Amino acid sequence: MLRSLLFKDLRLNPHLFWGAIPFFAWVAYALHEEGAPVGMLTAVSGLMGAATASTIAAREDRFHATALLASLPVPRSTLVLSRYVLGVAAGSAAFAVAAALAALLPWSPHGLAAILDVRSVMMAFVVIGTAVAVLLPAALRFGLVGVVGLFAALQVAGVGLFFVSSTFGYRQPLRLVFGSVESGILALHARLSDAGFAALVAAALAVMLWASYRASVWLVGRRDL
Amino acid sequence: MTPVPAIVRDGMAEPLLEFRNVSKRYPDFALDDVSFSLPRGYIGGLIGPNGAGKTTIVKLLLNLVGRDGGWITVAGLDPVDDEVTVKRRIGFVHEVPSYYEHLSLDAIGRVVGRFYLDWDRALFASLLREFDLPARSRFGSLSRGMRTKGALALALAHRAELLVLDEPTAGLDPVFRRALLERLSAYVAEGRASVLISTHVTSDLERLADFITYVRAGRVVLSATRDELAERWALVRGGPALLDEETRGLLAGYERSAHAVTGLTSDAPALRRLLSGRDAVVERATLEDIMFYMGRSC
Repeated sequence: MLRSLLFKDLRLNPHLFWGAIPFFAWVAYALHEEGAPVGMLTAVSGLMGAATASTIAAREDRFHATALLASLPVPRSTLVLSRYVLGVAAGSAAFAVAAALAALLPWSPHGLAAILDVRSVMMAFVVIGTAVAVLLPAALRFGLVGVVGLFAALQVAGVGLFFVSSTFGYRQPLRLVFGSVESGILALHARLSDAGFAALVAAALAVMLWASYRASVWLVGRRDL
Repeated sequence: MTPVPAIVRDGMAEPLLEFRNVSKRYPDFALDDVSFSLPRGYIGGLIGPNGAGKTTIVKLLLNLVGRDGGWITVAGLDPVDDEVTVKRRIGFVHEVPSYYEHLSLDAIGRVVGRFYLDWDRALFASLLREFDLPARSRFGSLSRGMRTKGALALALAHRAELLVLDEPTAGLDPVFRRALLERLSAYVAEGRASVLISTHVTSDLERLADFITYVRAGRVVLSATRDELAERWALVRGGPALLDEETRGLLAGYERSAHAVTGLTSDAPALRRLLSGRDAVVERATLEDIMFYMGRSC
């Protein structure tokens, strides 16, 4: 059943996958300068994974096909699982394609081995997994509205933070948030060369994805179609 | 969940579909204590005005909405506990069939067919030809009637034991409408499958349905076989004098003007006896009459 669901999504949305190739080519081209941030690949991969799975869920909503999908002989939990598998697979494929392009383009200063080192691959999975785990519950429960709402809420929070910072001249919260995120990512990337720590991160990622999946199953199970 | 005790009625096959005391609450609407059944090999009609709860009943059957109480069984299986098995046995035609607009029926068939063990690709292709449907046209470019035909072809191609059709004849031309009704009769004739049609167009069900369940404001107000309806229910017409205490007691609803009274009874033999020799006409009540006059209770 899972295979049938993945076939359905690939059959129904091929342009989502092929249409992204030019974008990856552009990312690969943007990496041609010496010192360009290779971490951009991981960001793009995470974005692709979460965006692909969420967009497909939102398209089901747009075509009012959610009811049709739910009337097929598939448990809702398998429907949810297929979205997670698709999200992680799309993110991984995006990373592989972008990395290959970045390494193989004639002017690229990066070798494939430099891009595909264990730390970068692990980091890509952390970004892909986190993006999928955060975005999918909202997308599956509330459809397109959920995705837009989540981004809108993040934007409002950001604008609110910026407003507080600039109005009261108190820049600490802004620095604190972005500074923490930045230093956290850098520290994580640096420590991923430690095999024990990498295993711990992989386990934490698996737990987060599992918890997100269970939450999505619960939310989708309660959804009246 | 507590197992549902089986009910076997005298002279009637065990029900393929059964609703028992089913309830579903929304903030502004409630389906309350809904019970009816449909034996294998028969056609059931679910009638009622718009907003009565027919579509909610269909959605409960398909587990598209969660129920708050009661039992539902399809061939003895619960649609929640045995979701996959039950859904494999059901063919569903939605009121407004919605598939992926950019795909052709042919492609939709390939996608949907993978989910059914009994999917018959050749049968699907022949149904598209029979229904005069363009296999390669985009679904989004089809008229509403053609979409319904396409959805029906999808439902029939996996040899469903229970066909569930929600307002299926809306948007269909009269020729195909009649052909559809004949096809449904033929589908149940072998005795393997049943059809549940939810509609407010009662004329479709007059000759077709073996069982009628009338839903109003979330409650089943009547559930009977077509023969029981013909026997028990009747329309009575007469002058204003017709409406006395005795006749009023036998009427389920009536309409009165300055010169005439028309009423509906659920006990036609008793009313005939009562009106014997009086200036009144007792005639067969159509489903539309039943829906109309029961909405005007005494």
